[in-house]
Amino acid sequence: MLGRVLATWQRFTGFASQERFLIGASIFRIVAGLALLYQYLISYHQRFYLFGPEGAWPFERFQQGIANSASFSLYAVSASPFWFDMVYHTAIVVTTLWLVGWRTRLMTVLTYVFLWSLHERTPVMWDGGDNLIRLVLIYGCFANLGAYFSFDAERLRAGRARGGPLVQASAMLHSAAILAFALQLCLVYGVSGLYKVQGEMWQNGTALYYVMRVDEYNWPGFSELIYQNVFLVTAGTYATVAFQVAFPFLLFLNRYTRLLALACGMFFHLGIAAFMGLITFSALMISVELALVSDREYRWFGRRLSNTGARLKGLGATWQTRIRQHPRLAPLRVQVLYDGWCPFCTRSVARLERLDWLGLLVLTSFREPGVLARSGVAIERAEARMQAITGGTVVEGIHAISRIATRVPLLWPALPLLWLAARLGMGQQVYDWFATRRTIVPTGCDSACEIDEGVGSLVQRRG
Amino acid sequence: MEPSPPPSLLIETLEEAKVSERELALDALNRVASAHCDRLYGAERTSEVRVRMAILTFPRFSQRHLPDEDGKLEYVTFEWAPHQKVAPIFTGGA
Repeated sequence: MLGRVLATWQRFTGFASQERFLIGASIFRIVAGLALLYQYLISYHQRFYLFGPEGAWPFERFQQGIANSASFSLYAVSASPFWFDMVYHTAIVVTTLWLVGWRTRLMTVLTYVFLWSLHERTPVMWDGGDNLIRLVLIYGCFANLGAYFSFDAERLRAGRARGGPLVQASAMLHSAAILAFALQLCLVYGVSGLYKVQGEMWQNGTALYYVMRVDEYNWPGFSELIYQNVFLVTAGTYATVAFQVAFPFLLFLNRYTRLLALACGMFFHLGIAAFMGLITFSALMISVELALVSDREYRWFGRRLSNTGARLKGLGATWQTRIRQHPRLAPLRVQVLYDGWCPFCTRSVARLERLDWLGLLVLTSFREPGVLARSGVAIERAEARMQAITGGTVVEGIHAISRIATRVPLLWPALPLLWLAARLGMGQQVYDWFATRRTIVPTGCDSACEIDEGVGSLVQRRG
Repeated sequence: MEPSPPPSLLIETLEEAKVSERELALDALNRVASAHCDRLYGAERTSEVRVRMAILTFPRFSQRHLPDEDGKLEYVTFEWAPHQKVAPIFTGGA
């Protein structure tokens, strides 16, 4: 009998201490960390008004509330602006360190302490995500949130590889914490769904209209398209209730229903972020949902993503070749004569080559033998300004840059500015100012190379 | 087991809590108004503030194509209150 109990216990500990949901936990840390950092930074210039000692929420009442509820807040220690600023800035540093995964376990605890302190300072201004993150961060203190994408990853990996009872206990705590994440999410969705079921507007299918029409939770120009459509309002209202009530069952039924529930949850919260503007609430909900995707699923998804990326790249290359070979594009080709002895010009040309998706630029250094003779451009002109040749016409300087820009789609937004600069005459002057100050490093010749002193600062190198 | 307090005491406690919450909310509103007046007219140029709360009941679902203006607009006007020193709404430092 004792042997069977021991065997069952060993099976249980073996199962519970398996490494799982490590990638998801790390992604939770990153997404939640970004959301919290966003919250701190978006309030930065209003921090004294929102949370400071002379903030809108009376400081005395805040201290009184802390004392009455036996709670704590670092902001209650002193009413000095210096102390407030020190706590606020330390909170930003701690949250950033948590986000990048430096001493993750300690930073999880500190992030929680600073976040709780902020929530207590002004308890009336949050969006619901605060309740969730405060609970989930407690569970997070027991989870391994730094296994991936963190400064701690290598150290933690080495620790896990060493094994031992402590590592096993840590893995069990991590699994328990992830289970707590899942149960918390089920509670949020389940309770919310059951409350909605009792509401009249949710029963008659119009609730979404009243939610979306409130000015504070509105995306002007887009919300109207949804709340004025009977089908979308009714379908959206019932789908919300059905999804929320079904979530706890879907999450634990099997892996397919779990992934379906999580995907629906993320989609649902992306909608809330876009249409209701509850960015941090949605980000925090999504961060918890991301923690519940298994490592194997993330790896499968990563492989699919990289395969799709490679396929798209291949498809793009095929299309690019087809477009480049199209006979109609041939007359648009521009031969660009640049200074191959100028390191800045060579670097710029290398960048241009990467951006030349349509293959319309023929980039040639006029320092190559015979190039100038073939193009009929005098060396003085080529040395002074970049030359662009199309169908026998030659333009130079700012006009050459404009012509290049017409051939490179990514540079199209700059065309109006280039055109204006050229028309006003300033463009050529600015171009000349830069061109005469460029450094020239002659290559492929010896000390007998002839260098035009007027071109700019010259650095001669023996070939 | 402790005996439960009489209903009258419970009601009294709840009423006290209600009054206290209302005072706190009004105080916060007046502080918000003070900060806005400072922003609009400059610091220390306001002696008293008075908050007016607007409640818009927009058209019901059956009249969803109507604009907000066709809904019901009601106001709750609170008493004048002394201006309070509040941190500026936007600030780069202390």
